[in-house]
Amino acid sequence: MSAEPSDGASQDVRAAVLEVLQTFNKTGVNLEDGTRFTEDLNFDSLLVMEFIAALEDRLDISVPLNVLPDIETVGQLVVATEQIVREEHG
Amino acid sequence: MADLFDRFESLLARRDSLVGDGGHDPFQVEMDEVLSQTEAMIGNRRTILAGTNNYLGLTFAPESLQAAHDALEAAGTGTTGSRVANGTYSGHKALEQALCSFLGKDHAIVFSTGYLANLSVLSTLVGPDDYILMDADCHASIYDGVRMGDAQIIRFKHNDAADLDKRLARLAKKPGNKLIVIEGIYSMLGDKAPLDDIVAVKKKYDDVYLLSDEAHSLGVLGRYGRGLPEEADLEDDVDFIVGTFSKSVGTVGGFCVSSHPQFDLLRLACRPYIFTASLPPSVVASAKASLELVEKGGALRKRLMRNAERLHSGLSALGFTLGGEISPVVAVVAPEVEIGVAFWRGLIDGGVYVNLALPPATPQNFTLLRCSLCAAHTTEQVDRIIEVFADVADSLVMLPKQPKKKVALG
Repeated sequence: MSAEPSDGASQDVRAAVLEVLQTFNKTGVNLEDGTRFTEDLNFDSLLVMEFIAALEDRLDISVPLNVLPDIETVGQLVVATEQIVREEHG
Repeated sequence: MADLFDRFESLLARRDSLVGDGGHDPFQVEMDEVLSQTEAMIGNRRTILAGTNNYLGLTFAPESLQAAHDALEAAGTGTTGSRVANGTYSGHKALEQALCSFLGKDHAIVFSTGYLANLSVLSTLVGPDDYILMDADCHASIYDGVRMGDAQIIRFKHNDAADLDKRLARLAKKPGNKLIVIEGIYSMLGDKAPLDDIVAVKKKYDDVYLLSDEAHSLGVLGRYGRGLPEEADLEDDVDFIVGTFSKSVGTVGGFCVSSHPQFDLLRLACRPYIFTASLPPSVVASAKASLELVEKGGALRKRLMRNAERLHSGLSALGFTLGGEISPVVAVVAPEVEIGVAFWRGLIDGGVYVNLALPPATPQNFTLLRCSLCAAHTTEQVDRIIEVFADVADSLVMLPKQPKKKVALG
């Protein structure tokens, strides 16, 4: 597999994550890889659920609850989402 | 030096800010003397119990008391062992047989609590290559059960069959079994699952099973009290029914029934079945006796629903915001947590006990004054509950900075 298409795809995933996340960004902080969901974005469990559902719809993927405990930052979510997109859409 | 309990600091701070003023603590209520299914002494006050999930009022049913007494005398105070060791008595098997006949399934397993039934089944039935599709408003025992297992967990929007459909469609190309998990009546708001829509979605896909937790609907819904599947006439479409004896059945314990031919294999694999002591013989005997009363309890269900309608319409007429449809759970939505606590204290001072439910354990992060009705509540008791709600709403207006509209909870 060449690096080119995979980089392009991961740019798309990152853009999609940030686009969806921006609609849930009530605190108005800058969204960077190190931005934390709980501390910086004030996400509670209800908001996490709504956000993940929106992300699933945007990318037509399933994000199992199982991956969430390990995700604290935007960067970690981008990496996890890229992996799911690769698995689901090849 | 760091203390082991430092990690609970934020929990303690929240507790202190809500109830740390020395007033009555909603989470440390002591029933000093239980007078009946519907009344207890709390401190020196005779209190109407309107938050006990004792829907049919069977906790003092003479037949169940007698059965418990007899079993206690005959078999002792406890089994002192697990179901897979020395803890399966003839009573446990008879209770499982009774559940099979009552619910029309081939196999039944009795667990030591409803919580353990969900932990057992949900952690074991599905493996790492399988998927659980659970309603987002499912009970904590369901969340804990699926977390204890290895399956991939997908949540769908509460009572939204179209959302479930979308999620199943995404998974359709993946191998592995899919288990949909719903509840007959959801505990916090008392709303029912749209079972016909969910069954229709289930039937569109292969390898999909359906589990319904009938904790709050067993004894309540259906002509014979078999829960939502009976009421919806879809009993054959629900593959696994989980339930509890600690609500309508009036004691403690849990179960799961199914007609899957291999169902009994779970006995060899469920850790919360294997590694805990079985129910005491007296509990098992009263559960079996009460199940018969549940099945014959048409008149009790009518009284229960009449009480539910009366409380629902009475509180509604006063202007309270209620969650969900008319059901034996009547949940009053408080506009904020502090008002919820003050309101709860007003009710307890007025001689009415309800459950105070706080975020994040509630749907939509509501603060709820959650009432549950009992068939044994008299009309006078229901009217008294409504009256005390009205009095407390009025009295809270006297508090500073509480505009009347807000205090009227909606």
